[in-house]
Amino acid sequence: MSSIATDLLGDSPSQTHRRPMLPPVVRGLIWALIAFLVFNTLISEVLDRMPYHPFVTRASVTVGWVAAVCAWLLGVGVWEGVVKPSFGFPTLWETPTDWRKYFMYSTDHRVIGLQYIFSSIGGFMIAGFAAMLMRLELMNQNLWVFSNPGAYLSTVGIHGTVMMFSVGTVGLVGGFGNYLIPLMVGSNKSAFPRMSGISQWLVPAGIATVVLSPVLGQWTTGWRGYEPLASQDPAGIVFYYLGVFALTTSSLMVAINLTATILFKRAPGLTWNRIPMFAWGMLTVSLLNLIWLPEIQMAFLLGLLGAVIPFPFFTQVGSPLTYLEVFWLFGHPEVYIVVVPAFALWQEILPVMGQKSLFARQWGIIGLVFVMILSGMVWAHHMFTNMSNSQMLPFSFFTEIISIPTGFAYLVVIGTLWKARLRLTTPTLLILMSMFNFLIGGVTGVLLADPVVNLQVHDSFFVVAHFHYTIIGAMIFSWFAAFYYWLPKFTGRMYSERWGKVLSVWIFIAFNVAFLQMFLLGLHGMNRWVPVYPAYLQPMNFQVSLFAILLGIGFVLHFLHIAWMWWHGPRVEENPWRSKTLEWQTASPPGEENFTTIPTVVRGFYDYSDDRSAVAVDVHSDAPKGAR
Amino acid sequence: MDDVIEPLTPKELRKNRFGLLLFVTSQLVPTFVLINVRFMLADDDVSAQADPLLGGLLPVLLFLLGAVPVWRAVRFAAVGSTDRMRRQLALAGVVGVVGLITQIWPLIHHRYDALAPFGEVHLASVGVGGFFTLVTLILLYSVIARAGRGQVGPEHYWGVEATGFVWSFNAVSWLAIYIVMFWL
Repeated sequence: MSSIATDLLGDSPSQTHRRPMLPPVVRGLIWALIAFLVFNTLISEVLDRMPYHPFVTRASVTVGWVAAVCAWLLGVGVWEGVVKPSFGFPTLWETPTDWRKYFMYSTDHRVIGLQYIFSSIGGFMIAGFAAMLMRLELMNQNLWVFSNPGAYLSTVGIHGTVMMFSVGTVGLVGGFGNYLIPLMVGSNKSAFPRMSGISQWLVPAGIATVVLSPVLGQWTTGWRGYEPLASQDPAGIVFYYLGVFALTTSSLMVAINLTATILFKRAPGLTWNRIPMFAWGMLTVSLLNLIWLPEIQMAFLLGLLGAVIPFPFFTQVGSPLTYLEVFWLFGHPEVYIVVVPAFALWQEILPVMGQKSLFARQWGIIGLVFVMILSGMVWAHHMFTNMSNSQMLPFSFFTEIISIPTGFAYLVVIGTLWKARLRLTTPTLLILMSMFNFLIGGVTGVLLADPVVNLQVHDSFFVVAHFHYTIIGAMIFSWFAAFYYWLPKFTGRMYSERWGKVLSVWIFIAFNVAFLQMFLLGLHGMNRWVPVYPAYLQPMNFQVSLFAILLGIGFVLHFLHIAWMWWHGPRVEENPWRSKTLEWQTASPPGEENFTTIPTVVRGFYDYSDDRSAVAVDVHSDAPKGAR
Repeated sequence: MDDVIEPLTPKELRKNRFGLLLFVTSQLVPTFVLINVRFMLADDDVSAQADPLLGGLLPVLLFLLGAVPVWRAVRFAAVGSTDRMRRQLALAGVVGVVGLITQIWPLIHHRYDALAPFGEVHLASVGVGGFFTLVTLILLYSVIARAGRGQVGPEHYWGVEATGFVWSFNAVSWLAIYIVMFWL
C-alpha cells in the first residue's frame, strides 16, 4: 500500500511521491486501539476517577469507543480520502485494482456495494451462529448450554440487534443498492461517493461493538432495549447503544446518497415514470431511513445517558413508557425499511423471468409509497398491553389498513405472472417462496393487529414466528434471490441451477417446519426471552431447534455455493436474463466505467410486449469482460 | 500544489444543495424528539435555579448574530472577494466559539438538580446542541483552511454556502430548544 498526493477532487495528481503504508484495515485497527487506550485512560484515570479506579468505566468506554471508531475510519483511508482534502491539504489515495481494494476506503460504488454485501454476510453469519446457540439451548427445557439466563439473553440481544441493523437494514439497501442504483439509473458514479465510502466502514465497527458487548457485561433486554430493564442491566447495554449508533449512521448516509443519486444522476430520458422498481424501493426506504434513523439515534442517546451518567429518564422515577414510545416510533418503520426492498425486488425480477410486462406498474409504486406512509402510523400496536381501548383503536385500524398497499405488490405480481411463460430459475423460485412466506407473516400480522388476539399472544412465540416469517420470509429469501439474479452481473459467471434450486427447497422446508411450529408454541403458552420453559413444550421446541439448525446449514451452503460460483462458475453472456433494465445493458462485470457513453432511455424498462431495447445508444463498455 | 479546482455545474450544485437539505431535514428529527421528551418527562416545568442566559438565550443570540457574517461571506465568495470572505468567516468562527462555550456552560456548572426532570432534559439538550455546534464549527474551520489555500473562489464556493445552511440550521434548532425549555 502507498499513499500519494492529489488535488481536492481526487483527480489526476500534479505530483506524486510514494511512501510505504500499512494495509489500511490493519492501520485502522492499530489507530483504533491507540485511540481507545488514550481516551479511555484520560477519562477513567484523569478526568473521572471512580472509587477503586477501574480502568474501564461506562463513561470512559463510551468516550474511548467514539475515539476508536473515529480513528478506525481515519485509518482505513478517510484521513487521506476525506479529512486532509477537506482542510485543503492535497493527498492521493491510490486504490489497487486487485482484491486489496475491498479492504480500504473507496469511492467506487461497486466496490462499496460489495464491501457492504460482505459486511452484511458477516453479520448474518455471526447473528446466525448466535441463533444456533439459542436454539441449542431451547432444545432442552433446562439450562444446559448457557450457565445463566443473562448469558442466554445477551445472545438473544446480539442476534436480534446484528440481524436487524447490519443485515435487514443493510443487506439489500447498502449492498445491492450501492452497487446497482448508479447502474440502473445510467450513471458512472453515485451522488456522494466520499460519504458513501465512509459509511461502509461503520458497519464492521458497529457489528464488532455489539458482538463485544458481553465483554462489558450482560444485557437482558433483547434488541429493543426496553426500559426500565436496560437501566438495571450491567454495562453490556452501553455497547448495544453504541453499536446501533454506528450502524444507523451508516444507513443514514446510504439513504442520503441513494436518494440524491436517483434524483440527480439519472440518464437522459429516464423520467420519473421510467424509474426502475428496485430504485423506487430504494427511494421509499431511504425516505423512511431519513426520518426514523435519527429518531432512534436520539432515543438511544437518551438511553445511553441513562446508562452512563446515569440520568433517570426512563427509570421508575422517570417515564419507562416514554422509552417504549420513542423506540416503537422507529421500531415499526424499521421493519418496513427491511421488507419494502423485498416488495420492490419481487416486481423487479419476475417481469424479467416471465418476459412479460409488469402489470399495473403504477399501482406497485403506489403500494410502496403508501406502505412507507402508513408505516409511521401503526407503531403502538407493539404496546397494546399498555393502552386503553380508545388508544388502541386508531393503531389497530391503521395496522389492518397497511395490509392493503402491501397487497398491491401481490396483485401486481399475480397480474404479471398471469399467462406469462415463467422461467423457473433459482431467483424465480426464491421470490415465489418469499411471497409465500410473507403471506403467512402478513396474515398473522393482520391477526396480531386485532387487540383481542394481541392481548393473548403478546410476548409469546406467536409473535416471534410472525416477524421471522416477514423478515426471513420476505427479506432474506429475496436477498438470496438478489444474489442469484445479480451475481452474473457482478462476476460474469453463472451459478449451478441444480444446486441453487436444491438449496432453495432445503431452506424453504427447514424454515417453514421450524417457524410454523413456533406459532403453535406461542399458542400453547411459550414465552419470549426465556431459556427455560415447562416440560410439555419440550418436544416441539426440540423439533423447532432441529429444523432451525438445518436452516442454518442451508444458509451456509447457499453462501458456499455463491462463493464457488464467484470463482469457478461458468462464464456467461452479458445479459443472461434478457432484462431491459440499464444495469444489464453494459458489460458483466462492468468495466472501468459503468457506461463509456451515457445511455439515452427512450422507453420503459418493463415493457416486454416486443423486443425493442429501452435505450437508444449501444452502451457496451469497451473494457474486456472480467475487468473491474 | 495544483490550485485548479473544477467549477461545479448547476446540476451538481443543485445535487449538493438537495443532499444537504436531506441531511438537515433528517437532523430536525432529533430536535423534535428532544422537544417531545421535554414535555413527556418534565411537563412544562422550569427550574427556578436554571440560568436562562448560559445554556439558553446567550447562545441563541450569538448563533443568530453569527449567521450574518457567514452569509456575508457567501456573498463575498460569489463575487470573488476572498479576503473579505475570510474575514467574515473568521468573525463567525469567533462568535461560534463564544456561543459554544455559553451553550455548554451548564454541563460544567449548573445550580439545578441534574437528576430532576427539568435538569436532565436541559443538560441532554445542551449536550446535543453543543455537539451540533461543534460540527458546525469544524465545517466552518475546514472552509477557512481551504480558503487560505486558495481553494475557494467564485466558481467553487459550495463549502461556504453549505456552512451558511448548517449554521442557520444550528441557530434555528437551538432557538427552538430554548423556547421549548424556558417559555412553553
